[in-house]
Amino acid sequence: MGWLKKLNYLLSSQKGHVNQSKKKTSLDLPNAYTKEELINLPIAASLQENLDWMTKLLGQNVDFVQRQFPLGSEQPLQAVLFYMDGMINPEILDRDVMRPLLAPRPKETTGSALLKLLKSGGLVSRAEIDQYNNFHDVTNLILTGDAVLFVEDCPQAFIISCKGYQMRNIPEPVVENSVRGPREAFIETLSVNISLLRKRLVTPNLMVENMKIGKISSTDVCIVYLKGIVSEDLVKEVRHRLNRIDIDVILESGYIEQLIQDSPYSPFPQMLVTERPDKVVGNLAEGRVAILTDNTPLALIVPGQFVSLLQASEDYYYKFYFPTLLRWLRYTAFLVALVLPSLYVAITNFHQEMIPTTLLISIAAARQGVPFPAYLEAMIMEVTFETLREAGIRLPAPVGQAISIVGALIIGQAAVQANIVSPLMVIVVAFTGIASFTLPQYSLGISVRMLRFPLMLSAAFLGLFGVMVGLLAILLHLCALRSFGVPYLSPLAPFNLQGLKDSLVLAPHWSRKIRPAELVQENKKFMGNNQKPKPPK
Amino acid sequence: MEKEYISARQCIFLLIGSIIGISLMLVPSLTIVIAKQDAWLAPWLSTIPGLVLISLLVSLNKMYPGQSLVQYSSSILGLPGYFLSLLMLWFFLFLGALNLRSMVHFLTSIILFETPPSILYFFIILLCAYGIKLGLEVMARAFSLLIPFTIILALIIQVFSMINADFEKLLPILSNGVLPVIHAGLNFTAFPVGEALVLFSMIIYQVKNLRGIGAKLSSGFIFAIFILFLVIERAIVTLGPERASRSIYSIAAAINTVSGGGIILPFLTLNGFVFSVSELILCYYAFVTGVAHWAKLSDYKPLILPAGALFMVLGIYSFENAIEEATFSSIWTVYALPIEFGIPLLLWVAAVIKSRLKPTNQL
Repeated sequence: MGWLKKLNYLLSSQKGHVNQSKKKTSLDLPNAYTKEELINLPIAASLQENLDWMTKLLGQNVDFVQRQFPLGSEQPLQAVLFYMDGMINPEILDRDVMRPLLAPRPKETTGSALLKLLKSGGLVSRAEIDQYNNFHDVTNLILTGDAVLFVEDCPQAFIISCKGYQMRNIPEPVVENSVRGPREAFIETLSVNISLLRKRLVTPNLMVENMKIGKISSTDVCIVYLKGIVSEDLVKEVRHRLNRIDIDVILESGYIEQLIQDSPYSPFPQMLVTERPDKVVGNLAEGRVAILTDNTPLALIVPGQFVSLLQASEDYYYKFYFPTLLRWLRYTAFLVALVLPSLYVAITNFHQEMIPTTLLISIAAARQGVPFPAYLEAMIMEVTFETLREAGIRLPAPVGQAISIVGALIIGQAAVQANIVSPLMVIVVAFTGIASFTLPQYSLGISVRMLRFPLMLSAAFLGLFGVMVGLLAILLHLCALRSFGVPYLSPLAPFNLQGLKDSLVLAPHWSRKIRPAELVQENKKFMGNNQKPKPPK
Repeated sequence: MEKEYISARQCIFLLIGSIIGISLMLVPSLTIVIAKQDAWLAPWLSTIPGLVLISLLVSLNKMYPGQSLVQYSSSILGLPGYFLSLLMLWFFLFLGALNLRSMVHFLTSIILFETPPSILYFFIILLCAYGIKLGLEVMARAFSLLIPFTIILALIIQVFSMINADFEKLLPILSNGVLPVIHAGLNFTAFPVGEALVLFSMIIYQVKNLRGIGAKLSSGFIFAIFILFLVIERAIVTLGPERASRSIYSIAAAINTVSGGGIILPFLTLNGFVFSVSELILCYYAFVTGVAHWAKLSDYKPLILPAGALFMVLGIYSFENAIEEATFSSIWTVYALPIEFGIPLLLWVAAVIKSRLKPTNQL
């Protein structure tokens, strides 16, 4: 009755400091155990004891399967195999685990001989087999899709990996679509995501550190970086920030993002979020660190800088003229999405002299029947637009189309004809909306959408001066932001001439020889000298 | 107090921004009133005292590294130094208040005609207070990003408004003799050169790499002078000295003469606004850190909002009307020059004598 003693010991150790509610739970519900209790619970030599514990811990679950069988034909040892139904691959389990275990062997006939063989790794043909000696590891692994084998008289558990849960196929990128470039995106399975990175970087320097975050969910979170390029301090800082997370459940990488960013109140995203493996690899090579979270088809990249939020991975695949123009277009689009409605409000209210006379006359004519001041008009249209956008995302796909037709065609047209808004306002709002879609980072688009409203308010009260004060305040805020110690606006401020080659313009690959100076201290060079192609003479 | 560092490059941009400052708007009329068509010589005359002041401040900083003017004035002169730095602090406060007042006056007379001025005072001070709360590093970063764009915009506006330029208006050169030009040059030395440069006695000690800082600052200074020269010359050749001296904001008047100038005018205002904010924010910063140094406080941040209220109130109540203001601006030179140049010179001489008297300290 050794296990009773152990149970008594456990219960008595709880009395002092662990919550009292456990004692009150009814007998047919198993107690909830903390991680520490399970770690301190060793696997016993007695099979019956282990079996009782496993039943106590997991036995009530409908998908928990146990299979008893004798090991060996002469003097057999009893053995039990546990696994969670639906998380394993039954074919592999049958072929590579059960069949070798049950098949009679000519040499090793006794149970103890077979156990010896099993311990030395010779019996089961699965590649991954391991031995553990406490219940925390055992339950954890069984719940992630491994099979566990207990054998009589053996104080160890054999973990045989035969994961086989359902996963998606590797899809095409949905949010970050591209014309040119690989058509692979991350999926929810961490190991697949890591493999997508590994096959792009065939080097032993690609480090993937794993840690489990979430007291209940115990989600796998990986820190990925390129040793020799990344600065050690950055990796240490990422590790430190992830380690201090103390939360029950991590559902998505957004939890991690909010728990480790520098300025929690800033409206601006401080790290890149991407679904493209090629973008992650490009950033790793520049000395950034990626954080992959299990069950999330997205990677976080730190540190995130403002200019890198406006870069698409496709930029690097085209000849440099075009991406340079595209970047300027995006910077303009960022500004337009931020200030166009407030400029409209400011100019029509305060600075009519800025509008060319003919346009002014047509604006005045169009606004003649509109009963609202420009600010209210802009607010109505912006709120309508945001509502349509939100409805378009939330509604089921077939209805979503109907909404876009109703929203775009009917409301837009009818609102103008009913003299609720002026046609120019509709143009302004539509253009603003389109401009905010050109930003490659969705989260940056969100911050722009939010900041638009206070700017409109200040434009309504103080005209262009109000817009300017608002923009200066935003600029000061951006200058004060840091992401993992790197200034948010670098390389623009603080200024770095080499950095301009990948921010203000995109210089051709053969002239961008240096990695971003604010990230990389050593091993700065991307490439060798004289990489500019020359025709043979 | 937490040490903050800025780079020499950022310091140069702050210097350019604060010298151009509100004077972008005010200086053309003020100089043209006195020196007529020769007013464009005035900025060049003031380069010499400007360079001298820069070298004084740099050499004082070398003798007392890591200290602001308020700090080293007391370590050079002892008790009298405290009073001297108090005078300096008053200068910063009053200068900031005047700057604020001119900015608001400019805004209300060019783009926001019906807005109550106190609202504008409030929002400008709020913006500056936010910047100072974030620290010098952040301000320097923001302005080193903004000032280049603003300079480019200023040059574009310059090109636009030169359509009606008539270079005949520059002639005859020195028809009224040299004296009016020297007078205008002296005024120019007090405002904007001296007042902007003396602010940097509270900034230079925070520059990270001090090697060659004198030369770097001087080049920035000359560049700012060049921009102001362009502005003055533009007012002369487009409006002519007579008309330019009669309008307060001759730069705006020059643009209004161009067709389509109405579109540019608000941009010009914003342009001037950025430059003026960069000067005001430095006055504000110099005053707040100066008070903190003077009273040996560990942090200047609690002083920000009270100081902002002081700037606002002083800005609103310093003058009853524009006539008073104009009268005061004629004595500004006499009031400002001794503080801007006299105090650093006095401190420098005292410091040199002190170091000569105690040669053992050098070892």
